[in-house]
Amino acid sequence: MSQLHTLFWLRYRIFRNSLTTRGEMARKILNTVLLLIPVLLSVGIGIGLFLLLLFVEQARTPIMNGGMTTVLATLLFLMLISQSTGASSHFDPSKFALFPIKFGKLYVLNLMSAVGEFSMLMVLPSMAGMLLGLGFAYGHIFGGVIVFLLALLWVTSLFICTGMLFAWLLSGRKRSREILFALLIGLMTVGGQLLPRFFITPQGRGLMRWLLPYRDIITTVIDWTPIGVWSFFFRHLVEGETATAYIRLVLVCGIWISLALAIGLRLFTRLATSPRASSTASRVPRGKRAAATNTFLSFHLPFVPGQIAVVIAKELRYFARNPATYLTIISSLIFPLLFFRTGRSGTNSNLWISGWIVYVFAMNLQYFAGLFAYDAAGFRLYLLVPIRWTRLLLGKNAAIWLLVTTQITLVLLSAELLDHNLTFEKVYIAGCSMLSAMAMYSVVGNYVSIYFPYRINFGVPARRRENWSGISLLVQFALLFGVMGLLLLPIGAAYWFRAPKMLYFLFAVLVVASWTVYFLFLETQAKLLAARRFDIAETLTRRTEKV
Amino acid sequence: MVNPSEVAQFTSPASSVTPAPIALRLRHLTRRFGDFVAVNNLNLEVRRGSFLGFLGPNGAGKSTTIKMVTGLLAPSQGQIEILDRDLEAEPIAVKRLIGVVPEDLNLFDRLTGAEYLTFVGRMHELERHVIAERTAELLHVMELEEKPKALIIEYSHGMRKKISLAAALIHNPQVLFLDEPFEGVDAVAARVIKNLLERMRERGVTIFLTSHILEIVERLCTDIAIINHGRLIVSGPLDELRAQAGTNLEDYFVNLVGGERPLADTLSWIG
Ligand SMILES: Nc1ncnc2c1ncn2[C@@H]1O[C@H](COP(=O)(O)OP(=O)(O)O)[C@@H](O)[C@H]1O
Ligand SMILES: [Mg+2]
Repeated sequence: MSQLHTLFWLRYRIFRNSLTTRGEMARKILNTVLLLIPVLLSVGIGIGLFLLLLFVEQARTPIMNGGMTTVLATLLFLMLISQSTGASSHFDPSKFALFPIKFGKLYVLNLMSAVGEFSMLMVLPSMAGMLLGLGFAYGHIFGGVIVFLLALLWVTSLFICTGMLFAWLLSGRKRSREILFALLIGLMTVGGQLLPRFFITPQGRGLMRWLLPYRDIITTVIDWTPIGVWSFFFRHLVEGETATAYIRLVLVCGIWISLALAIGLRLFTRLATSPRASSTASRVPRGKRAAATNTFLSFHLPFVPGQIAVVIAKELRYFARNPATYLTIISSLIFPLLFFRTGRSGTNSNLWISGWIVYVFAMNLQYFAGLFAYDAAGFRLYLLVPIRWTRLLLGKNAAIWLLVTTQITLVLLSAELLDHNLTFEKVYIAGCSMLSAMAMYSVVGNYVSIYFPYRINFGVPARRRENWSGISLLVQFALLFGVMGLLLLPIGAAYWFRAPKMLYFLFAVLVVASWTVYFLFLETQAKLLAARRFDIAETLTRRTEKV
Repeated sequence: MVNPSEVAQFTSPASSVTPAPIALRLRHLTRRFGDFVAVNNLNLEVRRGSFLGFLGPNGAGKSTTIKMVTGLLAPSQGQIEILDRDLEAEPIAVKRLIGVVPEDLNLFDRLTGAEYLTFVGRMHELERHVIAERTAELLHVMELEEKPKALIIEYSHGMRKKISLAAALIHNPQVLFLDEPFEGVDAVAARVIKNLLERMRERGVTIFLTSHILEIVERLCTDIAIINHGRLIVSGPLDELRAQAGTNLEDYFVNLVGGERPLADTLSWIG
């Protein structure tokens, strides 16, 4: 068998072997169906764009002259973001280091399989729609096809290149690199949000005015980038300058694609031989060891049993050491800070407050719904120590409550610092929304964590969610909108009956009710957890094969 | 090493007036994975204070047994009693009495060694100063104190075994379960662990150790049980087994679990 053939056979075999049980099969099918919805949506958008360009003449020029560049930039940006958190199915070079196979060969295979990646499937249809659409619309069918093929090659090489970059940042289990990675992604997310808003501020308009004389230069520069060259190509093609169009296209694409491919290949070969673990800790001389035993995990809380306190401490330690936490905090802060700053009061601003509280919760959903996701083999320890499951659940939930409370406090404090308009009413609504959302998220999150446990690998190259279940995704969506609806009830009622005082009363009722529900369910959930403990341990520690 | 009268009590408890206390009692213990029976109707009694070597070839069902006994895996059938407490009925009480080093360790990778020991100690509700003292001493004995800031994920295989053993000891367990504690451990670390286990036995701790290597069991244990294909083949004091086997215990063991295959006409392409 040729090596190429063998590699694809290996992929197929591993996939086949992973479908050992009927439940497994059903889960995979369900996941595929659930993933199919966004993919179909994206294909729909692509076809829509294609038809739009083909039949609506007015749409062509704006899309060709700037719209396309913006859309492409946004799409690539989204692809990179999703790539940083999602799965990637590239062949892991380190697994093949012992075999006599050329890394270049593996690399080409990775390029080919990248086309099937979820984030690529989200991007490609729109690109195809725009590029083929413009080509067909202007009667340059051949040009459209060529442009699309080159764009395809560019996007795949960029995808693999950044994928390798992320993998490299996360390899070696170096904490500093992991944090760097989180900050990088955080900055990208924040930058993506801030930039468009910046241009509508007075300073932003000033900058634009200042840049106006240089517009031609900027356009020229953009024309030399792989997101701008498409527009250049079509502009010149339409004007009949076929040679200029093609030469520029091939030149620009050639440069950028080879750059991305070369960097990607370099990182790829480097990853293949990089050491997996490298110790960042330094040795200390003997005799200085007493201090080491006085750890953060010995922290005590008044009135809280030691077992619960130490579960909280351990969870907080894990949050602090998890790059994902920083990502969560950045993203949960940035949106409310940009939009929470409303000077108005009354129903409208109350709605905003509750809305942003819900938003912060949505950002933290993965912690509520994946209570054991980061524990991995550590989960077995809970089976071996004399702790009651109620306490474990309480401790784990309480740690998330602390995390969320910190984030919301930060949002409120910064809003106050910026606008000085935090009224008692706003704080009250924010507090009540937070408390009831906390209880409701915990109730549902605990059920999801127990019924659909999954593992998130912590700081390893592909930060994939193993055993990820489609059903839990559905439940989480329902939770998001359910909580939102419940929080709208008091605000809506107060508005409807024109009784502002009612707001205070209804929110208090909501808080009491949701916490009653939480404590009513806690014991049941503990029993359920006890019954499902072996299954959860199995799911969290099962070795999943990946090549 | 072993008092002969005690041995006699173990082999025939019915004959003694006051039966020796039993640390572990397994009755009809069975575990099926689908149609496959990994552990088949296991009946075993381990006397208190003894050091049992649970021996068997790869895949015999040793780990499956130890997982069921320590509450890491649900038995398909059968009862487990540790120091006269039923595991199913009183899980919390049993967990206070036992220490476990499972096959695929149970570590929180992103804690430091000291943090992990503190976590386990507090889970067992020990006093704060007791935890601090024992953590320091355990880290010292296991020679793990040189990198206090290192996370467990940065530990080598042997270090992971040692930190897992340290965690199993912090609450002074009465019965200790070890699944292949010497596997992948270097000679120095193995010596440390061996000395520790011998000292623990002298202080009356019951130890249940699995291994597929006869030599280890022969050197450390007072009692032996051999399992193959999920069935218990032999169990009893090591001295008695030795007497029965004649001089070469290894031949006896290999014969019991399936014998040798001829090597003559295999791997013919090598050389
Ligand atoms: N989760 C499982 N699913 C299916 N088979 C298993 C599982 N765990 C163990 N087995 C099988 O049970 C048998 C005994 O395994 P184990 O107890 O780990 O052996 P060992 O004596 O080497 O520790 C093996 O044949 C193994 O393949
Ligand atoms: Mg084993």
